Amino acid sequence: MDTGYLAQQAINGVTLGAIYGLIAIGYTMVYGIIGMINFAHGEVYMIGSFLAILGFILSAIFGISSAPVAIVVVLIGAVGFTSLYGWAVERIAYRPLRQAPRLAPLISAIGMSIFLQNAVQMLQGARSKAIQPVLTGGVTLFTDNDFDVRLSLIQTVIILATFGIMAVFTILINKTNFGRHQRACEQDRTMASLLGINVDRTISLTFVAGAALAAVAGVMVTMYYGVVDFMVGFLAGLKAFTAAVLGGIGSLPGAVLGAMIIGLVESLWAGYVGSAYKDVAAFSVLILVLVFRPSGLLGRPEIEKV
Amino acid sequence: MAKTTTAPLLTVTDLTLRFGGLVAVDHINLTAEKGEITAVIGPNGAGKTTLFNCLTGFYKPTSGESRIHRDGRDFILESLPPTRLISDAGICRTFQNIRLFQKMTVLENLIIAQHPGLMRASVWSIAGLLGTKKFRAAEAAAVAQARQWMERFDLLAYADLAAGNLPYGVQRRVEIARALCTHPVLLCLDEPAAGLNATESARLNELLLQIRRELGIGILLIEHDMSVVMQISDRIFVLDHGKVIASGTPAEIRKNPAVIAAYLGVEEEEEPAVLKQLSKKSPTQKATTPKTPTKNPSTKKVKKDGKK
Repeated sequence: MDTGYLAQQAINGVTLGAIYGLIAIGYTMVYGIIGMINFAHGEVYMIGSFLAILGFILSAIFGISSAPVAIVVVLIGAVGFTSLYGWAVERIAYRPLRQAPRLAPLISAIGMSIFLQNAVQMLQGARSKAIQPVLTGGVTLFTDNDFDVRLSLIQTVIILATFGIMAVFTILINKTNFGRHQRACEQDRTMASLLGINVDRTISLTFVAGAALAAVAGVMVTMYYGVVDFMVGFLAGLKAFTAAVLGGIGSLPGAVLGAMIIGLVESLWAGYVGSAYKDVAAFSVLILVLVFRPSGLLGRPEIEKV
Repeated sequence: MAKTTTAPLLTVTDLTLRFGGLVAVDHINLTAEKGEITAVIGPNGAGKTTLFNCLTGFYKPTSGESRIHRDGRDFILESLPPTRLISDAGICRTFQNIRLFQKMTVLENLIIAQHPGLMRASVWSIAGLLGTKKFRAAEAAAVAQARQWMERFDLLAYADLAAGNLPYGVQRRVEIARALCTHPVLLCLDEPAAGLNATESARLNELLLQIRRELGIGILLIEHDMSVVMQISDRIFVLDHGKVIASGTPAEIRKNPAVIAAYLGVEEEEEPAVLKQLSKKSPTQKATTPKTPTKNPSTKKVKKDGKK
């Protein structure tokens, strides 16, 4: 086997993994704090992608010719709007059901997801939207038997942005008082509120933070592939969810690790076996890991105290 | 209740809580003063923890109210949202079954209790993320205050360990230290000495007395350990079947036959005999015993556990 080909697939896989990782962090944080899967998270990501397309078209119309400026403007806009969506999802689909049995918010989140998909389909049409590549160029890392291993500029941006954001979030969760509040609400919501922590606000901010990350992922994907339709949230959301479970749901580094594994498996499978069954491969890894480590790779098993 | 210039720190008026047909708390009247340790005692199921749960917003009482008098202002506890019980009324509690943030370190547990100041200093964590000077100063102050309490409660050695892994007695101390970090005016302790050995509970006595003296705050205490209650309490309220059956100083309570009957769980038919015997031993019975004084028809050997 060619090392060049392998290296190229690995680069593609890491890029893909980085995008999944950004979405997976949103799943894992929300799960951590309210113990529920936010099934509308994939749709929030999809909205981020649409906003990115819109943003890039608008910035072209307003004559922003410099790519970095356009990217920053689009990022800020998409993150801002998508955060609003994240806040609204929590406010509408979760908060009224805070005291309800666990199944109720789950169903309402699925309803929210279907609603957002269809709303976007009606507003934007069912056809996929495409834009011109925003960032072009890249470097050839090395050549192996006439095969150029290339790292494109956009891949570099995605990988760097993802790891940068992950670093920021790790600091946010571990070092700041928002992070402390979040962990306190995770462990004992009642006690947290008795100590004066505003639980509702902490949960809202968690949804907002997750949505902001999904928006970043949406913008990145739009720049990478250049195509978006109203269904992209479903599969990307499912993959990111898989990544979060694989890494151990509730664990931030776990989500990133899981995402990298899913990304790599997918792109290596596509590269060597064929792209038809790449999703099957990704989900098979999940099943295998869950059989041998039910709490995920970095998740700690929950021990019920009696 | 007559409003004087020096209203009690905590005034509970006719507080009643019914669970269906069971009256868990039955027209309780009690007060707790600043700079005093007020103990609430009573047999299992007397409604002590339920009373605490009413005070701290876990239960909504069926009728009656509790009021905190702080800096010339009155706060009705029943109408405050849980987050403001501590910030406005200044009431903080510990639990019979300890409720620490188990996966966090002792230090983090203590810092989280001081969050309002930190939240202000960190501008919703944004300054915290950037590590600005102001936030670092606030954080350092929080750590200093936490350290001071850890020193007081002999917790320094455990500062960086996960709270859930610590021995029971240590966890109890962490919980009290955490409550103190919120700067309460009324500290409610639910059986702080439970599970402590004799040395530990003697040390706890000492600490509580110190806190009362130095901070001048009120302490409301539920306790079964009579060595704790009798030594440190300024006033004692005795609950049985949701009612206050006696109140007074430790010396008064010790002599009160109704209390002894409630604790011994005397059968109704035996009661007169026991009381007679008791009153022979202590003829000077001073304790104020409202409503149902010496004869307490509901005192049975087997007590239903109506709390939680």
